[in-house]
Amino acid sequence: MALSSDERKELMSRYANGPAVLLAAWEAVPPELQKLRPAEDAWSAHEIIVHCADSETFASTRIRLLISDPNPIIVGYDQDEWVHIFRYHDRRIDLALDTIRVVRANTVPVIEAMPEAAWSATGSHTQSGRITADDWLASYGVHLHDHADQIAANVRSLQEAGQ
Amino acid sequence: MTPLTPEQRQMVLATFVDGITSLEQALADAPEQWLDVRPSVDEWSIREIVVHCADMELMSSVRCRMLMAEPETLIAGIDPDIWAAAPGYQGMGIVESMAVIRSTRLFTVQILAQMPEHMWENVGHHSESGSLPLFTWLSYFANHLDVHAMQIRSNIRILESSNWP
Repeated sequence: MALSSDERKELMSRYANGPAVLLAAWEAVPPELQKLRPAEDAWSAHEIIVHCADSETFASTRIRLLISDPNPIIVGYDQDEWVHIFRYHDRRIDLALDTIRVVRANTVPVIEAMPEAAWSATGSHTQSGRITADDWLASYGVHLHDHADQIAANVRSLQEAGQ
Repeated sequence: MTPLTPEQRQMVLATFVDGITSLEQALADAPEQWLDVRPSVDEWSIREIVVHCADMELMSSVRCRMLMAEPETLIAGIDPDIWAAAPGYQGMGIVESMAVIRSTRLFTVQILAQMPEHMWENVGHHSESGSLPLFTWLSYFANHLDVHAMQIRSNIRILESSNWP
């Protein structure tokens, strides 16, 4: 996927304000619903936030690898397994939210400084194959917004179920 | 290296946490006008050292989780000097970098402190150095911030002795 300059500008703007959008969604979750899963195989709002913290750290290293190394290997992981392996419900939500905010704030200047040519930098993802810096932005530019929507949907679903 | 005993792990984890303060204190002693001065052409400025520490903190946060959750995982080596030459590196914020170091390290410590016993036996494969047991990674990386705190203090001494303005 090759993005236009306008598409990049829009996605970079969304990337920068993602943490605020996610935080607003989290703060709207009633405390008694924070660790409830709307379905057996769905994540709770708490698990979504911790996933975002882990994902944010991965994302920050991936873009640095893409722009610094020729054809780096981008190692994938099983995000559903990690929820259980790392017992996301036992992770501190304040540390997760803080990690999301500061890691992303630290990566915004990295992508803002990228010259045009760097956006076509390519790596090899162990699960999905070829990945470019533009692919990275298309994915992570909306990642936190998507999960903010997921949190809001969780709340609606749980409240409709009488929780 | 032999596996760490539970007591040794506690000591290494304490070193891991204390590294944050060590780096913060070294930084607090650095005069602002020297933050971007390299003591020689092939050495890093204090800003570059701190930004490097933030980069490595991010990488290590990922490596730690991969070693824990994905045994036999590939740990790709990086060249820190190439990263330091990336566009925008000279303008990265010191405050923002320290925030990354503090937050990601504390987040990782919580996971390490509660890690099941069997995970300490996990071994990954580093692309340059070969077999990498989790406990070896932790033993090595726990001192990373202390090493760079010393490097910052060395920069300060060199610049002081050279009467840099």
